[in-house]
Amino acid sequence: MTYPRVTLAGYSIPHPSLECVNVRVQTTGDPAREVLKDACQELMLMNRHVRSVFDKDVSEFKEEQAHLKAEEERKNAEEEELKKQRDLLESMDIESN
Amino acid sequence: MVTEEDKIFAKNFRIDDLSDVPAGLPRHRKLKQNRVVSKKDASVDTADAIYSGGYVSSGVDNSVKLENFYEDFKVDVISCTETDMEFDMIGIDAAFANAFRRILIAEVPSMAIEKVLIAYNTSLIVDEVLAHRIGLIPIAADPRLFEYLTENDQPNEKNTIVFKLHVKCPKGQPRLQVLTNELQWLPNGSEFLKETGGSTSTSNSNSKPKTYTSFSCSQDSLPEYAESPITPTYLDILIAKLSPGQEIELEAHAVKGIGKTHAKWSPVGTAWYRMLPEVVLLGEVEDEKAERLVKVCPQNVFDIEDMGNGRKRATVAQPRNCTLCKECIRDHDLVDLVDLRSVKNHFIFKIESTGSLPPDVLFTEAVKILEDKCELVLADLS
Repeated sequence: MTYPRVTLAGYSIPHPSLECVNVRVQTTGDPAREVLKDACQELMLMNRHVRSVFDKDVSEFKEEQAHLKAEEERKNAEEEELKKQRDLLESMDIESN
Repeated sequence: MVTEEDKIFAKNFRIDDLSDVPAGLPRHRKLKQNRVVSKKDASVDTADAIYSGGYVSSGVDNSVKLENFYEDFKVDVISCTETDMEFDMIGIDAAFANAFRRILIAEVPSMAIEKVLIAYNTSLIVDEVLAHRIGLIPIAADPRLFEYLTENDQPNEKNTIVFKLHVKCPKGQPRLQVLTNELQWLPNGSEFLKETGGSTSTSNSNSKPKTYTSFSCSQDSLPEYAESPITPTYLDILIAKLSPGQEIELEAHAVKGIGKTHAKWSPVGTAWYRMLPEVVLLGEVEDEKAERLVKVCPQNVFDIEDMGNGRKRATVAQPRNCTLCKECIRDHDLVDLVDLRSVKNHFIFKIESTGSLPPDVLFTEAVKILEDKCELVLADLS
């Protein structure tokens, strides 16, 4: 309905058991069939856009997650190294004492 | 005296061209256009976008344009695990969000058990109830690797997954629980022999006996399933309980289908969306009122801020948590101070997958399905 060439757009389903949808399109002068086709085309393009944006964001998100996880693991590894060194020093101190 | 110049000027004059005239819709109209306001009794301004010429007198073009959509549309992933996903879709119409939700629930295919061949069942669970329960078990198999099984097809390795369940509770043992981990995958197809009927088939005694499926090669050869077998998503679902001496022997054939036909084929536990809530304080909420406001909200949307001099003020800390329960506008003195709004084109989507596909792949499949439908309509119209 927010399509500029359309004055009226509607659908109705005559009976739920029948797989049939009546679509009504009224335009500002252009042939209704063409306007409907153009609208479908735009719909398809919008869908493709949604898909591409979504896929991009999900892969970015997963990369970030992987990054954060790698960072965490690196920090844990560093901490463990430091701990080992500290233990070594302590044991050396005890020996010298 | 009106000169020619004046006439031309008057003809070409556009009030919007003046620099100090605000462009676009006035603020309160814009609010009506893209916010749903939840008042004490009901919601207001819930209608979707007015038609394209609705704001012509204000000089605003309300038509939906592809370029605007390309610019405005954004996706924000909040969390994404193997089973659940929460993400925001901004700049999209409610019709789209609903379409994706409906397609996710009813039209994205998955694999589920359809035929259960029961050889032996002495348990307390009746055959058909057992078959019904087995049909509802979610299976961790990618439906994109399989084809649909139509009436004219033979069940083969491209459209069927075969499971076997053979459990017996030995005498003298306590009651046995039959869990989904007992369902074994048979990559070579059915093992139950089909009755060929009639004595004229003696000439075929050398060939392979006919079973209920005609697998020409083992499903093991598929790269995805060479290492790890196909199993149900959750291995601890209780199927039946057996007393000593009771036995179940059956074969279950899983095929591809969509949620529209039967809910067992729905690949999502559920999928839902809500609009982004916007909580706005219309005035200063101080001291005693502030404390009351913070206490009354079950979602901790509000918070107290110290203003100095021992005075306190309420602020909106986490508007996203708001469930629009409207507890904060129940009191007559708070009702004019809090405005509960929802942003009409910002949707918080949650998808819970049952395991056949990860939730982000499910959403992509749903969008693909909508695209395919558009193509179908376009092809028919041309």
